[in-house]
Amino acid sequence: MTAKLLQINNLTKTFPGVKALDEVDFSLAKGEIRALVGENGAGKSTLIKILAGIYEKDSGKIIFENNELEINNPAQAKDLGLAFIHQDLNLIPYFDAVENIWLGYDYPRKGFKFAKKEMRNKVLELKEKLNFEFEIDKPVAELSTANQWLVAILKAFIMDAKLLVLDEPTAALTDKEIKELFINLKEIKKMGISIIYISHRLEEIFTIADSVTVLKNGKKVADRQLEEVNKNDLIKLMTGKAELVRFPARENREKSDKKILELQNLSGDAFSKINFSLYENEILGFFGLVGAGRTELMEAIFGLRDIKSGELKLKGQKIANKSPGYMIEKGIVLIPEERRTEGLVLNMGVAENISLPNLELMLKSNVLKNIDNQKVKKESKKLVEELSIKTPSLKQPVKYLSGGNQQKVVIAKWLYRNNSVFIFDEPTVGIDVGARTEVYSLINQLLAKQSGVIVVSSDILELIGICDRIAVMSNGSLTGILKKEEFSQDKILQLAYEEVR
Amino acid sequence: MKEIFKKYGTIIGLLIIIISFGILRPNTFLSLRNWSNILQQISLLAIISIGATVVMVIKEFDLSISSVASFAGIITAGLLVDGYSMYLVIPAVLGLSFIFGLINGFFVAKLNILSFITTLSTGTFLGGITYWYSGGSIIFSGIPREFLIWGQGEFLNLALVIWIMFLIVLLFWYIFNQTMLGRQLYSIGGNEKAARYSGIKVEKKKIIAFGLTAVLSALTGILLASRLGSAHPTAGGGYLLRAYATVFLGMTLFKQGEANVLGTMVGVLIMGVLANGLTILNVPNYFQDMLTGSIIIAALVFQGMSVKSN
Repeated sequence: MTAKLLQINNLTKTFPGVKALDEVDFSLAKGEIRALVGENGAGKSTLIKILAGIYEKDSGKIIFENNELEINNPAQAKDLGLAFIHQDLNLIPYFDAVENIWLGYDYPRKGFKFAKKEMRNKVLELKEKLNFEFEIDKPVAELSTANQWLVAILKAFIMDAKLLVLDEPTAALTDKEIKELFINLKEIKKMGISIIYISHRLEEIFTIADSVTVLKNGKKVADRQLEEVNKNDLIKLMTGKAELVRFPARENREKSDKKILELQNLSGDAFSKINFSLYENEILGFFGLVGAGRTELMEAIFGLRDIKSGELKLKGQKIANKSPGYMIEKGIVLIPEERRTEGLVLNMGVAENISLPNLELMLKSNVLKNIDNQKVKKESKKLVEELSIKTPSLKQPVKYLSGGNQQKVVIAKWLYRNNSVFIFDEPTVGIDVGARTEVYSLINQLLAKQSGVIVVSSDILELIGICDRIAVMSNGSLTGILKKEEFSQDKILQLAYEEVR
Repeated sequence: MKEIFKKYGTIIGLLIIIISFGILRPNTFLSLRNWSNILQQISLLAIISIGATVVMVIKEFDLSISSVASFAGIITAGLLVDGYSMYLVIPAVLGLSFIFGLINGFFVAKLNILSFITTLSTGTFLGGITYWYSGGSIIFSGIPREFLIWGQGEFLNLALVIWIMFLIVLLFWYIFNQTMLGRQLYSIGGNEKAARYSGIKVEKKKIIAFGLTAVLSALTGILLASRLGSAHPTAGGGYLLRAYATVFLGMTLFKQGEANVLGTMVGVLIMGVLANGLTILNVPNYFQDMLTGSIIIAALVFQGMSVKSN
């Protein structure tokens, strides 16, 4: 390819007890899109944070545009033309796109006032140049997540970025939005701007990237052009395992006609007239585009949202969705999508998190409501071992655990009771390949306890891999339920795009 | 070493203060009599500070604590002067204040109004009632002697207020560390959403927390009136800032960055020992304020740094 933009030699960074980066070499050409992959803890974010000037390197060289330099702080990284776009996007929700894009740069002035028109024109011009399409005068909170990404990317262009680092840009996007984002990224590439692309979704790397760098345990294990490798090669490189069983086999799962959960004409704010049954011993998948109403439906079943009309039946008995506490008592639990913000109290320890929804079952006295610490310890320890959660101690604050282990803690919270319905919302988002398989196995094990499982996911292959039936929603309605023998990506997508009303 | 300093810096600070005063005025400062004095002086601040700790655990503010204290003092004194029995009046005032706290909690938890603004408003409102009831003047004549026992009496050679303080500390330490309610309040403070997803009735618990804070504030006001033998419509005013200062000092200890009962007590001790020692040294009041302010800032800067380096 053409000229080199970035060259990194022998980069090393150590944290107490861990070698986060071990003599890593990395080089990037102008206009190249490089995927950076590896399991959680492989060193991706450390590498990026050194480039961003957040961490200081221990040793090694960074050569940018043929100059060897040190990046000491984020401001310097910005001056060099390095733009980092993180999943959180860091936009101000009630500012419009123009204000967000200019934030952090000197606003152009006209006398005593900001030259708002000039700012707006510059944004329009960039937007045109890059073929981005979104409303620039609305508060960004009203834009879709995909469009918010475009705003964040444009922000990088105000400063003439030479290198864009995108961290999991597609995590919250629908397939259609991902396609559009990729078209935009290719435009950017044409302008000679390089991109480092971090993603857990290996499929999409093959669509968007030119080459891939694989990190494992702080070491670089491979640099490849994407023509040279396939997905299985990458997984092997990342995990070091020869063969990877992505979806564990289901053991002796018999079909049952016992209905565990039944919805009749259930309607709420974001969904209407939903009918389906969940059978014992079944994994029922839920697919839909963002905004289809899946999460809202599940939250309503779990008592977090109001039901306007229709009926909810648990094991044949009508129940009201009073509150999460009530539903948990009845045996319906929801494992939320956002494990860090909804599933865990990050500052609390592993045992404290696991016991949180089960405290009333772990009391010494029902009058004093004092906690039986021995029991909490014993039961948490059992679950930690059962799920092989990697943690130095039961008291370890969960914020220090890896994503996969955090997710296991969230699941462990619900294994102490005998629940009838487990609802998983995006159980494997942001979890590395190895940990995914473990989560799938866990989901399978839940069925042994006479229960049913609902899995909401945007990953079609995941649903096809683990579910017995897949329900598809579009625009607040259920557009179909597919049986195992009818599963196909096309059919599922067709139902997901079905226009309702 | 650095770890130890980070974790126990505030206690080390307290020890340094004690040692310094001990060296400067060994006979007066270190005497048993003086320490019993210090404990008596901090007891009321301790009780209201633990009240502030309760709402700080769920990451909310209650700015009405001093208004509640003044209100409770005035109403109690007023009703006693009117001849009602104190065994009726005290529970009634505590109960009334509890309800006031529940109302605060209702605004915050159910109507989603910022606790800062809610309690600023309700506190101002309550201050108005207090003024109205008292006509703006001090109530002192006609308070029955038996009422003064709470603030002035002794039990086993220690002031009764000290025993009350110990009881409250023990009780709230127990609630926060050994009971379901305490654990649930900490989980709400740590991550409200996760608490809700865990089936905890977040709104209800929050409302209870505000209720408890108000009860402890009212108790402080009643004890203050008993100790002084009089009630002033703004008697509790001085407690607001000092109570939160002690909570913040305490947040640097034991549970990093979270309000906790024992930490608050260390904060209370720092304030009490400083005030006592500086008075013994004849340091003028204004200088005491300046020094106290500086020490709090120093502790918080220190904590801020330790949070960042995590």
